[in-house]
Amino acid sequence: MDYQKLAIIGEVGAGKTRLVKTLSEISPLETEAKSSIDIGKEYTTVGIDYGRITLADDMALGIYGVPGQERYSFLWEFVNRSLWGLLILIKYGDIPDYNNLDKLLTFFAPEKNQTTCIVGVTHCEDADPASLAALGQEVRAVLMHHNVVAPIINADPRSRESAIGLLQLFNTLNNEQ
Amino acid sequence: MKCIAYVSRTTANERGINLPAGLSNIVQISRKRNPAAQITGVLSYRRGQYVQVLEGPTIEIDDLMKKVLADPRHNDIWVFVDEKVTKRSFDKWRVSIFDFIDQGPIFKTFIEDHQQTLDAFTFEQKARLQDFINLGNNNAIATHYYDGKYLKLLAWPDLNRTSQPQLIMNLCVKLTKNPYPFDSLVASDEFGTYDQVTDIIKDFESLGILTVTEPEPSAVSDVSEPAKPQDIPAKKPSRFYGAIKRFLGMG
Repeated sequence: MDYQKLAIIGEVGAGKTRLVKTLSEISPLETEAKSSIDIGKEYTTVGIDYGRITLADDMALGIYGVPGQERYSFLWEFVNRSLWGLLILIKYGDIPDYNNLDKLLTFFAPEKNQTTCIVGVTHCEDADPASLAALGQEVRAVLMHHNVVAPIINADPRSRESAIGLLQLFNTLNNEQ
Repeated sequence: MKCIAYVSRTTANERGINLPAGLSNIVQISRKRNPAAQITGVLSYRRGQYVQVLEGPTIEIDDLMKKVLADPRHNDIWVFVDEKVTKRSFDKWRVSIFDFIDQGPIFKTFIEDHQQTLDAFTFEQKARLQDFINLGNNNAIATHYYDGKYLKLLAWPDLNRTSQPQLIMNLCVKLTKNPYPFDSLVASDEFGTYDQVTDIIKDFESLGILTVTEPEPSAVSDVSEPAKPQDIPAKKPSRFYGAIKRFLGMG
């Protein structure tokens, strides 16, 4: 069985669960629970979102939505094998936790492991262009520190077209030397 | 009315990394606050340093500078212009995150208005500003400079600010994983004429997101022969790649 994984990592509300739903052919396994504190939404993922794309009888892409906070790093361990791609979702409008992003990149080490990495900026449909550029530059600085050469793309987890565009870019980058 | 221009370094985080953390927050707040305070100017960030020019009513500028000086996001602040002015160099407050600001038309008036001050800087002072303002060093890239060279990205450019995002994306894909010959980019005809490809690459280099290297001695047998697309060993597409392509309806 040729089974590879796409890990989708991001902070609360970045759109992981929605993107797994958009991409998956199966009804995703969700582990959402009612939030006990105000995080801007009623339900949040307390574990992992899982979806799958079957490519052939013996071939599939597993899609894993994993929380970005370091306290969930035991789940990072779980997905950090046979990684086809690492998608980091950043929510526009929130100030990202850069220390956490730094830890995440240290753990996954995309440059060392030759893992294709893409950063998707979500909730940016009505973003102020200058603020969006500033956010991109912040993220770029963290990536450059880790020698990670990764596109920073506007992403809409609700949109199949946007989700497919991300898969296409992963596939193309994976096929480069 | 007065004008203040300063350069500052970003603060290192808990692991010693210098990040422009909070830049987007600074931009958001400033875009709301500065017009109300009649403050014009520009903010730019490159390679661990901010440059900001602020001009407007003296009381507003002094008040804002007090906040900047107390802001932990700024380190090692050097105010390199602090002058009374009678006219503005900028018509509004802008953000220019990437550009060499002296190469943009918006900064031209500022340079002209403060030429005497800028010319008087020492070599060390000019060096500190070099990422933003090219004070006297001629960095013009020679014609055909990239011929025979290999290119690799250090970071992707901002695709939101390019007029041809798909073309730039396709080109960046080539330069992401390993050094790629400039000559092959040109020979592929995928990215425009020689001059067009050169302009894109120059732009990447001026943004500080590209490395340019000579080919490895083993990479080319005869250095007088430019690399051709066929010199790039084609990677055999994996089964997985083909399967994903078919799934996406591209195969």
